[in-house]
Amino acid sequence: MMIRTLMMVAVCFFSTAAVAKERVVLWHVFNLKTDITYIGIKQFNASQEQYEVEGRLIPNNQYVSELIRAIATGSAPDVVTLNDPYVASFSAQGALTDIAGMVVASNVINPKMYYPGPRATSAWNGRLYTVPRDTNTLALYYNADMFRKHGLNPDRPPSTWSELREAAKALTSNGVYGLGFSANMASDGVFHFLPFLFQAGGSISRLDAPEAVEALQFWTDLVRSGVVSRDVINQRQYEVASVFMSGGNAMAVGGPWELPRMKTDAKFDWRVAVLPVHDKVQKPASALGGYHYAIPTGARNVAGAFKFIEFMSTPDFLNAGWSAGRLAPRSDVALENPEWPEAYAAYRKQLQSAIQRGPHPQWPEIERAINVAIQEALTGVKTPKEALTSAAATIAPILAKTPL
Amino acid sequence: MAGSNRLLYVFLALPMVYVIGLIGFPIVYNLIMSFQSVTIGNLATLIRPLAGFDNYAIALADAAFRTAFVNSVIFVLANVVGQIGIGLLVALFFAQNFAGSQFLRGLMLSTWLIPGLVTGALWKWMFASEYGVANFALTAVGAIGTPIHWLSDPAVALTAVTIANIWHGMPFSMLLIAAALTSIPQEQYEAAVMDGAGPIARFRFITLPAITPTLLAVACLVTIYSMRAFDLILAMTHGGPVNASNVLPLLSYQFSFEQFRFGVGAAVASFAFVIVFGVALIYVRTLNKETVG
Repeated sequence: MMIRTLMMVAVCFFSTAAVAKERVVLWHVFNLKTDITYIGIKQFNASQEQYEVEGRLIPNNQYVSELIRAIATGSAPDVVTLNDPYVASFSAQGALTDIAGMVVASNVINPKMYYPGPRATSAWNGRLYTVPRDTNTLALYYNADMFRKHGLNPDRPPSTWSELREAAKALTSNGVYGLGFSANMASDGVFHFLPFLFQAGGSISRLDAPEAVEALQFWTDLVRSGVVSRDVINQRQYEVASVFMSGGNAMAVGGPWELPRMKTDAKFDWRVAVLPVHDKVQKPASALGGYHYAIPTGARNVAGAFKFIEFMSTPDFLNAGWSAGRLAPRSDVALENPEWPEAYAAYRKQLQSAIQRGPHPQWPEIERAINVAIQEALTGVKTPKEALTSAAATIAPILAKTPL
Repeated sequence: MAGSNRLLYVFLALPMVYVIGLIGFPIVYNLIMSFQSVTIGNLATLIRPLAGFDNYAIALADAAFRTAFVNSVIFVLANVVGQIGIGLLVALFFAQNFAGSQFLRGLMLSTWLIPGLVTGALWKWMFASEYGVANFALTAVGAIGTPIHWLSDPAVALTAVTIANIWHGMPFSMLLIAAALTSIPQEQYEAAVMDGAGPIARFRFITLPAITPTLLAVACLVTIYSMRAFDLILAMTHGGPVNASNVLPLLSYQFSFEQFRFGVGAAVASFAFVIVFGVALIYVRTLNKETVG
């Protein structure tokens, strides 16, 4: 009896050992259980016998520093998801594996199919480092109930800057601000400012130009006139959305990833519109965001990592991203009957005029210079023109070395 | 005897290995990094291109560095004075031995146990301009007419994060001071009362001399803790507005992990280290004098 049991155990042990799968470690930041990461890992592991993907969720605010620590100690994961403004820093500094060869041989991934923004971010110096995972952009959330209450037409959201200003003014009342955006001392602040900069006809390489000054002046006036809270300089975009959902802002700049939260937490008639345009320039514009898959240098299982990236890059998976508010990074991939159909249409429309950040290996430095300028102007330490002139002076040598 | 001598060396070697490995190595590693040009790509290797004093020059030329340096000094001094001053008052209060005093004193330590990030988030809510409890309370008692923009006014932000950090760290100082208070023999007070000494005289001539070494030790610890209180500030203001509430450790973090300029981050950390080291040196010197005198 005893011997038989032991033999059974031995057989079980050796049989599992024989089919032991190679481990592929994935790091990501997606905490929504509806995100494709979770179902993707499950399906990938069930679909084949060679690799076993292990997902590790790392909080967004620790992600980059954790990853750098892992790279520094030689314990990099096999696949990572990277937020697009940081991709160029990682690829230009030699922290990512060139996957051009594997992509050429792939039947699933064809870089030409992706939107130009994410595609530009994927490459650096003629090499290919990432595969876009999803894309997003900023649009305008608004509280239709408050629009009605203040005599505004909820079916006609503000479409120009002056309409936005007037609506914000009309909607500001006891404890409620007309508009919210993030102006914090981090990437969110710049991400929210860029749409206004681009709408005014400005660009990052000419921050001291009148167009850029006008954009920052517009923001400054909104804050100074009290229709936007002064506290926006400390609000991450997550917090801006939270304020909107709790009724503290009547309108808010925000991305599609807020939609799942909006669905459960916003107890009013909320809607999404494309961002307004500058009255004279009349050019729609927004900022482009999104995540990429990349394989860090030092990854132990490059082949398995790429297999997983391929698995996750089928049109079905790219479309499924929308259930967590992530848009497909390919224009030819679209949903027929999406959840939140109006928001889906608005974001897809806004995507057409969304401009990516960089790619630039020193993007974080450029970003910080803009952060400083925004905060100097909004707090009144400097005028928008003075603030942007010093930001332009900080950025000029960086762009002289590596142009945008 | 030779055998026990050998054993002595073993016992001496253990703490030395610990100090060199876990304290000395990071300091040296940081120092080396501050003279190299470090990228994400060469982070895993130790041999990197030399940068000379470039990183230090970049740090010194950065307006943020100067602001953060001055802020660090103000922040640390305010914390030492605030935490020890309030800690001493609270410790004296709990030394009165009223019902529940010991339990309450222990309970106060819970604020010190909360992670800095959580404390930061907590105070961020309390300091919110419109819905924050700080402005609500001050308005209710008529202390202010218009709301204070605690975290969005560059003139106030450093004060706001300092208040939060004093709240966060004070119970630790209080507990150490309270322990020192209990070690003062009661007879001394009884004798002083017999001699007609009032409460102020008793404090001035008995309590204060008895706890001075502790106060010095606490001052040193508070300095060190304040010099690394970056997570609380990160959660509250991220060092903003502009750099109004930025301090050296946070700036070092921002250079390294937000801008990927590890060499410059290391150079900033070197400055922070020099400050802490200087304070520790003063502390050790003072203690030595105490024991000699």
